[in-house]
Amino acid sequence: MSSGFLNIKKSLPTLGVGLGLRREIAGETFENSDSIDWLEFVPENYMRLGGMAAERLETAQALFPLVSHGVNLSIGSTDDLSKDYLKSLKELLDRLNAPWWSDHLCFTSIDKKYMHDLLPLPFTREAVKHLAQRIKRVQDYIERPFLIENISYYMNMPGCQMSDGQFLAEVVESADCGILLDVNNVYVNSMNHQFDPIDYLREIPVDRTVQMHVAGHKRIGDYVIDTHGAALIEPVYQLLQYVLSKTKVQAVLLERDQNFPEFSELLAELNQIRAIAQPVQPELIAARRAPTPAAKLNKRREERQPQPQTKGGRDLRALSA
Amino acid sequence: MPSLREIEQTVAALWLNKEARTWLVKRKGEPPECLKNAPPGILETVDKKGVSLYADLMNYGHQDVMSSIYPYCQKLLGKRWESTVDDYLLQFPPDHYNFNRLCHRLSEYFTTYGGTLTDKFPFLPELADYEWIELEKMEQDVAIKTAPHKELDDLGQLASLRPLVNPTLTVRDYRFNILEIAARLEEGKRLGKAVQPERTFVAIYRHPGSHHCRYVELGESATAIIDAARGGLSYQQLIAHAVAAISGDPQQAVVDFLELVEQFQELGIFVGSQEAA
Repeated sequence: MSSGFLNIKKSLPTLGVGLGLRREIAGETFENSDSIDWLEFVPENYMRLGGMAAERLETAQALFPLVSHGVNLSIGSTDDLSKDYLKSLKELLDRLNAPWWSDHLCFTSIDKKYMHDLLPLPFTREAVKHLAQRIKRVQDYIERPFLIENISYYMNMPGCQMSDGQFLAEVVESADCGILLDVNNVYVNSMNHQFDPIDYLREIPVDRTVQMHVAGHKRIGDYVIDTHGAALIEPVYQLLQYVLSKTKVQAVLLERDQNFPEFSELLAELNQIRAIAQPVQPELIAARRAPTPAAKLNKRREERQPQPQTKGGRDLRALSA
Repeated sequence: MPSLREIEQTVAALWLNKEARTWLVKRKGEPPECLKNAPPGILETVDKKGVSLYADLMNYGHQDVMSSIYPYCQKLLGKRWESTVDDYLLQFPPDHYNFNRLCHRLSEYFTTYGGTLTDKFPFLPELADYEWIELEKMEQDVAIKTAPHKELDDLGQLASLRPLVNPTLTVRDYRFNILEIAARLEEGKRLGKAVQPERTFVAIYRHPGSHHCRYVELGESATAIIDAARGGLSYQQLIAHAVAAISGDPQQAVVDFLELVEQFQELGIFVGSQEAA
């Protein structure tokens, strides 16, 4: 299949190895900007919000390249796309000049009710067609390359007509978009649904992968749950290595959303990712930036103004991203 | 073959509705309303264990965010908190992409559906409002533009300048002393007389420096001065306003007014002075 997206991919910048912007670790993230190549942020936590959130994003923008990773586009929902959501998102992405943006292969709302979790879709031909149309629409509206992420899922929806991998492949090829490949999700799904993760990776067009996610997970009862709350394990590193050996990617991200360890542990994981990338994709390591004088200035300002925690509220993130 | 929409609607009903999940497992009697239009095949084949897991994950997230925003309501309601949250979400399902905003109608819920809870704790709608507004103020999409606080030491300046009111400021006129109730709940003390009606004016705003939400109890005259200041009156006009509002010594009223202005400046309620129109 001819692909405009694969041509676009060639023009995208290589960002390197990054971390998620999270309120709980924002101060340490900014202090360690020399060791982190780029940040991914959840746009719903910043869209049309002021105060501390706006200041955090402004500081992040001064220090790092930023890429957005949404959780409530609800691309798979059969509700109409939210114009309000897309307008707010576009405003934000235009302001930050993000090189690409992403969301999940799932639905999060139905009948105008948001469920605030990443919910699996039935792997059907109807869903493929529906998704492809909507992805094209949002990509045209936002005017930036769009990546869709494979989610972790804990039940097969009724009516499936194909495998998980075939479904992702058909969606991204019909929509002509990119992939944000989460190899922890591949691992978690392979455990919960008993398949070989390498078979899955062979089923999908990995050359459409622009960005990757790695994260930790936890076994709870009969399930392996994608918690983003534990250290990475060796099989996930191996899947990362496998993909990096098959295709060039622009960015790898360590996801950590809860149960935060000492920050040095996160930095060690970033270095481990770099060590894996070095032999197969040295460009990812070369992407590391020297901090600009402006960035250093902002960093000092941040050190003088540690960001206090707020009492209430939660940053939205995926419970099962 | 059910359509994508039918599948999404049916499975979402199972995830979100406890009664529907119970029916799915027991299969006794008529299905609940939310499953009445379910197409054939889905309910027979759906993965019950998977449905239950997703329901738990969603419920955990909803309960967690509600507890983080409403710690005092949670403390007050104790064991009834969790079921209150469940019912609240049935009455007011999340309708916004921002996660925290799923919490924003709890005060309205207590007013409309509070029943025995508000009979026992009539201040609950106000307490919920007090707790929600903290987040709303902290995240309000308004930049607080400050200006220098100029010395108000001559008549010319009093006439030509006006205070710049913090644009995030809201003044609530509560029927109960919510600040006292919140403080007692925080300290784990009995509420006692705090639950008797006591009209209280509270200034609620985001501090321009820390970005934290602040609550300040106001007297009636201070409330009136803030209202007037929002109308763009100069300091001199505000003084006239203050003097007219009291029956005591006018000179003392001027001194009190200037002290109040200083306090408002220190608190971040007034964020500077600018030329009056």
